[in-house]
Amino acid sequence: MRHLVFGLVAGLLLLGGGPAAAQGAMTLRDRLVIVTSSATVGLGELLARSFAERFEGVSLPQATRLGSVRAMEAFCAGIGPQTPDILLLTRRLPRAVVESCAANGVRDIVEVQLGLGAVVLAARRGEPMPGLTSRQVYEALAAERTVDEEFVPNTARFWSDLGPGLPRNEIRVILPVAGSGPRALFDDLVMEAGCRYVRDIRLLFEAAYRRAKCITARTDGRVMDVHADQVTAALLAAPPGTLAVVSYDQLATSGGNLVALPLDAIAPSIAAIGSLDYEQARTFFLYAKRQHSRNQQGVGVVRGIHEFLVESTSEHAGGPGGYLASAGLVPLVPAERAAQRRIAEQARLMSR
Amino acid sequence: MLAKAIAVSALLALPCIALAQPAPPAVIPAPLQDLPSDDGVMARAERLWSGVMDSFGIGFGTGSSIARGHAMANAHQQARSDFAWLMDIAGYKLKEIESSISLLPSLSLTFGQARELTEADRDYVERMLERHARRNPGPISALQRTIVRGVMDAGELGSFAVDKVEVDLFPLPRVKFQLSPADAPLGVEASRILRAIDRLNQRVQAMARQGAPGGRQTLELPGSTPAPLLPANAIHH
Repeated sequence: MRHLVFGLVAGLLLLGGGPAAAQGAMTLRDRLVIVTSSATVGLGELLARSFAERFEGVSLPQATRLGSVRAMEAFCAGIGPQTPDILLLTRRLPRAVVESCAANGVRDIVEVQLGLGAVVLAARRGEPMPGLTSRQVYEALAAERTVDEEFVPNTARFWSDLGPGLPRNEIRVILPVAGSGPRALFDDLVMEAGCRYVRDIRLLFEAAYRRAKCITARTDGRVMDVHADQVTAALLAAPPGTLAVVSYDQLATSGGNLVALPLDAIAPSIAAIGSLDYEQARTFFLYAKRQHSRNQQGVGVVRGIHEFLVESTSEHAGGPGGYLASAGLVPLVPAERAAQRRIAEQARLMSR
Repeated sequence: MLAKAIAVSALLALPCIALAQPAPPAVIPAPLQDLPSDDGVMARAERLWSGVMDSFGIGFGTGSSIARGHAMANAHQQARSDFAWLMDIAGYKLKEIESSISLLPSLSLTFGQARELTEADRDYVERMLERHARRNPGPISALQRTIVRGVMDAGELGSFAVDKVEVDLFPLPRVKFQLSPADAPLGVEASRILRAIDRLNQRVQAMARQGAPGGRQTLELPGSTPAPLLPANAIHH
């Protein structure tokens, strides 16, 4: 009997130590790995830099842009140092993807909301301009337009060419440079939205080709690309009637010099953005694998996941005036920010 | 003279009109009857059939749908256009409707992929599904959204694409997805066409390289070099 108990205890000890030993064998990475979609790559790089600056001796996290589908695949591929730790998306993880994650052993996922991204079309105060539709913005700025199922160069000169009631002002628009957060939002939420119901565009099957036709801006001098944080200054120095694409945060900090134009009949405001009535806005989500967090027993893949979550949801990151605003993020309401901070501090798992 | 002729014609026509009018209907002595109850199995099945067909965009104008109130007809019209519109923005168009009338009637809808979705398109569909959920809380609308979400989720498998979606409404509700690998090999016909294009391309380039001594006609236009033909799958228009 004594031998039986001794054998049972020894077996349990071996079994209990097995997984820990195996997990310890799969360590260790010295930096976090973040995968992002096209619209969140700027945010990912900013968070990575801020994290490395805030914590001494920490290696700069590696942020890689894969596109949302490939980023989700990589995140859900499994557990281990060869898989990423953090995923940044502009939409909630679909249920099917969560199930795919669970099937591959990725069960403990923490989900936090970082804020809202909104892009607005702005004019200088004192230069009245009626609201526009995303279709009119696309037709004004696209490099090509369709005529009898053929693509020809866009030669529209005045806003009045695009619809009744629009002023006979020259089309001149300042855009943030390609690759910036506000430009990514503008391409997705205004240009693609504007071309979505153009008949000849809808007939194009391939997504990449269709998107290129939608977001490629004209190069005849009517569109000027400027670094994202210089757009406001460029607009103030531009000829009368010029419009600019800015993030909502830039509009709010312009001191009243810029006026937002209603897009698709909705004027941008905190309430309209928060309720997603203003369609040119989206929520940014961060997902983290709690299973990758290294613990005191030496089990885990990498250190810093918890700290990264806390940093991303802190007030000086996502609050009013925080550095995430430079990436165009509109802060969540205070109660929601506090709730997300609690989720991050407790590393509370996502429930579906 | 003319006026007299018109007046006489009118007078002559009066008896004809009187003769043409039917006799007033005879009085029916039987009392008014109650209509038979519409709570039977067949009546319920017919109402369910009409409701589901209307919701999924099939309006054959059955008697029970005609008999419904104007407001309900508008609601079904809206539900029909909502589902077709949701599938359309998800990149799928209605290709086939298969219906059979028998002891066990059947109805099946087939949607085919009309275009791939970009990330922005997926975000847009998610937002529209959320808006649809807020505005249409009923079970039929929830089923419609479930189908669209299923199509979207199946399309996010990465290495597969959803070619066809079959929605069976009768006798039993069922949704079938037909997926194919994203890098599937070409079929026999497609391979044959590609080889023919390659051969033609080589022939055109060979003719273009030939000179034209003695006035032999070539395809080379003055000052231009003919561009090689592109395979069909590279032509996007």
